[in-house]
Amino acid sequence: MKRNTNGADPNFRPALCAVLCAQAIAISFFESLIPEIPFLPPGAKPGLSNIITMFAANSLGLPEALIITLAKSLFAFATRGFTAFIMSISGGLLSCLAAWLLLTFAQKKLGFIGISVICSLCHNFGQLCASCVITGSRMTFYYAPFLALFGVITGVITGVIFAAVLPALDKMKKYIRR
Amino acid sequence: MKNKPLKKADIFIVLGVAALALLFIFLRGSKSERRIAVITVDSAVTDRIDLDEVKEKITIMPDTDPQVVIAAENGEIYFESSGCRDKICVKSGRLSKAGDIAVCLPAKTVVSITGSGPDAVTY
Repeated sequence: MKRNTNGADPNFRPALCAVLCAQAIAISFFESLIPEIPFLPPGAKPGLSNIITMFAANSLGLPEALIITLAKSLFAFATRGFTAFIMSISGGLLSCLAAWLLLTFAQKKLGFIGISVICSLCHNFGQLCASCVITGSRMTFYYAPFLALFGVITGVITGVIFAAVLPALDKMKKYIRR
Repeated sequence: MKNKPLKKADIFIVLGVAALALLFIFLRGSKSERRIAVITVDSAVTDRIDLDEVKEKITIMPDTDPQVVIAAENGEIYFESSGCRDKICVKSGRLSKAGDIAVCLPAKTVVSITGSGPDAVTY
């Protein structure tokens, strides 16, 4: 139903998807330049590229959101190696699925901030499970409360920014269709 | 299509998770109990160190690739250096409390401190 409302041009969806991939990768890259913040879990990032994944899940669909998640993970693999890829995709897939499910079925109950917080928590949980598998030690779950607290904070920030930039992102669709 | 960014359910989620997380953080082990540092490499425990018995600085170099160097002194244990790219383990800083943990994912190495009291984490 949603699929055909974006104009008749068959190139529209792939083109917008490619632009979003580039934006998500750019955001991830700029985030990686942020220095370590004291009192926060080491390696923790704000996860602002989730704005792009949420936008794709909201206005394109699950396949496009998954492609963007995969593109981000491949970028992590190319620049930071296999471990980074596993950590990126484990959190990314879970948070992408959560974003799509909630944006599709729960928008009546939940606002963007709540959805973004849940995505952020899913991302952290996915990464925690991956680190547990990689190290073979359940000790990594000691991080859980810190990651949950940090995830709530970044989730709120991402949700606020998402709500603010949604009109601008929507406008992008019009530029591409011309 | 229009969606308010903040709804009532959102506030419950944010406050609920934050409160739960803070509760767990404050319930973690205190400095006073006996602290055993456990080093795990690729799911096998390689070393157990009683941090209160450590008098002089000791360094441990488990057989990992990339090579990591773990040091213990003054009741603290930490990753002194690592051959990995991100150095997240080194940035984790010095561990001194039960429940503290530092992980080097590329080396599959976990350093954690378990308390020895009756409520110590068992695994």
